[in-house]
Amino acid sequence: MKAVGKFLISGLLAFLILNFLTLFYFNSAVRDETPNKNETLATNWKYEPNQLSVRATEGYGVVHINNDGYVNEFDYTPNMPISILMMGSSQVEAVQVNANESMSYLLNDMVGEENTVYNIGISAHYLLESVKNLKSAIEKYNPKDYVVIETNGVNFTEKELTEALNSKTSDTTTETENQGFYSKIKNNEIIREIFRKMPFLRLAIYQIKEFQEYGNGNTENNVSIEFNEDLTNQILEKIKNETSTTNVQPIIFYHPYTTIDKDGNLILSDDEDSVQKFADLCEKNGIYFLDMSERFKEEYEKNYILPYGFSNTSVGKGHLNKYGHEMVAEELYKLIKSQGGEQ
Amino acid sequence: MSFASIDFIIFFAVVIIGTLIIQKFFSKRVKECFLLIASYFFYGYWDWRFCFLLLFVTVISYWTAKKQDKKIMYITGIVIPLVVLGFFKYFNFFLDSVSGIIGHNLGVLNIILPVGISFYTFQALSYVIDAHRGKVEVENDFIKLALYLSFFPQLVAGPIVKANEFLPQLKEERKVTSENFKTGIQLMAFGLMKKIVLADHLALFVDGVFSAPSAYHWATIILAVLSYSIQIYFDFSGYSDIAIGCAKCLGYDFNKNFNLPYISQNVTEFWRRWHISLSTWLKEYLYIPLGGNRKGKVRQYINLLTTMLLGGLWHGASWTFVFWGGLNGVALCVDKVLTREKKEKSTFGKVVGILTTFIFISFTWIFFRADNFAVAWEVIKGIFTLQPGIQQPFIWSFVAIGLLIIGTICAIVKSHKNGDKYVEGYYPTVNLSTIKGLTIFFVVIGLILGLAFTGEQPFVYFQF
Repeated sequence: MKAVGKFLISGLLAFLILNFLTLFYFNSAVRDETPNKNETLATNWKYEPNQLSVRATEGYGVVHINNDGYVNEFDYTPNMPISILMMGSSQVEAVQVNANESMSYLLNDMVGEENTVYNIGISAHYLLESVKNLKSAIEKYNPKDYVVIETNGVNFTEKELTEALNSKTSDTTTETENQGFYSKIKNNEIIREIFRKMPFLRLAIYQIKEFQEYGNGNTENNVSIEFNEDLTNQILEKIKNETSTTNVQPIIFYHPYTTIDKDGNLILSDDEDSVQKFADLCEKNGIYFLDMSERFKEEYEKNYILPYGFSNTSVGKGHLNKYGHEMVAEELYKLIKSQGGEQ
Repeated sequence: MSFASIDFIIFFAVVIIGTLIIQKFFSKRVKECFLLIASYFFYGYWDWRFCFLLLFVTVISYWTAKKQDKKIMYITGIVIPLVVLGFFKYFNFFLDSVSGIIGHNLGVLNIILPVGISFYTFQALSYVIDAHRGKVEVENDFIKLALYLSFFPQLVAGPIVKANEFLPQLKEERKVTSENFKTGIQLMAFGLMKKIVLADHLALFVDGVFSAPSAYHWATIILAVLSYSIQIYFDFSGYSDIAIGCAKCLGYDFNKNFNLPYISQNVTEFWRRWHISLSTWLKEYLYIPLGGNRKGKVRQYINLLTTMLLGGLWHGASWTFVFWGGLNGVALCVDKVLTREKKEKSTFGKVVGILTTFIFISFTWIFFRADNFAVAWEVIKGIFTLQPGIQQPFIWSFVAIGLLIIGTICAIVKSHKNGDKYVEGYYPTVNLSTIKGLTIFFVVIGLILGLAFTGEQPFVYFQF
């Protein structure tokens, strides 16, 4: 009995110490499992409001989750004058970099007006997920000038495109990091409270899930998909139609992934032919298309700067780093300026 | 089954519980059979066909050692395991090298390298040779010999346990006890920390730089080379710690395989502290039989060089490994010339010795890590031409270097306190019977879980 007592006390003490240490390493934001039912969501899910997120597993980012459950340095108030609405995945969400290094923060700074760029980027919300949510996002935030949508690819399957056209939310997009676990326990308030207060538990689950993913061989999906011109055109028409009701200009920015070959050349993940077709369709539908490929190449060739990767992860892989965010923000700003600034 | 996997945790828990039950209710013989089955299961988890090869080498060693009075049997006991090793590990290398010489492609055979073959072959040889020399009794019990050669903690990446170190332990009453388990589990945790937290993170950076050295800034390349020195140390010594810890939990003792190699003041000392089980094996079964230092200086240098060239080849079927061994062999010869007069060094002299040895050893690791000479050359050229490129101040490199320095200082202080002239590494174990000790242990386990690299990164020495 005495040994069991020692074991339990030590376990508890160690757990408390680990939670304290984890506060500075991985105090990730907790997902909101019980959103207000009267509220229209602009994304499939969002975070619980008013949190600080600290993550050092990839890069090091300390960011603020605002009262609206998104990564923004300022709080949301209904009818606030939003000029540019940023939509996209974890690349736009930007929890791997500090708050003042994210593309939305930098773009806000460049535009020069206070709190005009609003970020509703959330993990796993790739282009088609953003398309599904576009209407509700515009209705809720009513951006004055632009809605910026991120994509890291232009080739999609027929099923994905059809689902997006029918605005059918995909189940797989919500299963990121420890969120799958949260989905299972979301109705138990006590357990949720424990997880809110215990960052080490969130870290442990995150790590175990990562172990399992590699153990199952679930790495990258390398299936090559043909460019579906017809359905992609319908998607872009949908974007244009949904934005034209409020006279807001859509911008799609595309950022290819990068690798370095054995001779030290930067290789972009894009399929140039498909990207060109996508760009042409965007132009046809009156959507601004920003391709980051050239800028990424130029930065590497001139300054050896890579848009992805951090000093604690693989070189050039993973999420956009602070340079990548800066490049995107600058190119978006250039595009906006060249089109006559804010409309 | 890798030590750094959930599968192994389950396997090891079953082995420990099974052994506890068996030692309580059954005979020692049942325990030996259980451990033997567990070891073959562990090995067969990679590829069940490898088990037959291991069994074949075991049968040959058992049979030839029993008939050691016949010289032909003794030779057979040495030659057959070497032929097996040569075929699986070096046949394609041989074909490739001959193709290069004659300028005609002879092609390659589709041969899978059985994991750990270099290690158990050397153990089998040590048994046959020691039995012949009378250093170890001929083992009449096949189960015991089979368990010695296949014992899962050391089977796939060492340490190379000599027959006279392990077979006598099998004859003693060794048990899973609370004390053994408390020590062993801490050694395993220590090794896991080195491997999956430090070495695996370093591998991310090192692999990136060595895959495209021409893309990186010279300072980043230097950091990658230094990081590889630390990575391979943490990787391999981490594996050894886990192996030693596993064996300890089951009641068996393995000798230390690493002893603070990077505080060596010269290359000779480095090889006394690095992969000790291999160094002593090469010394006892190769260097000394070649004549050692008994046949004059020139012959000693030739013997040293031969030993290190073959030691290099043992690591892998590639000329880069041979070159790496050759560099170390030359350095050992230079050491022998320079240290004929043994004088006590000043503190400054010791620090210079440690730094120059570390830099030299790190330089030789370039050839060990590079896939071929072209890559090694790119790395060296990048450093010496002050190449521009990607700058990556990899944080895990600084963390690992910092921890290595702190650990080394602790060992030096401890040795000084004990009045030892020769600095010895030690395991920072705690008393798991106290709340303080248990708390520290649980925090370490939590840190391992929280900081572990979660991608796939096999132990470096599995390929050997």
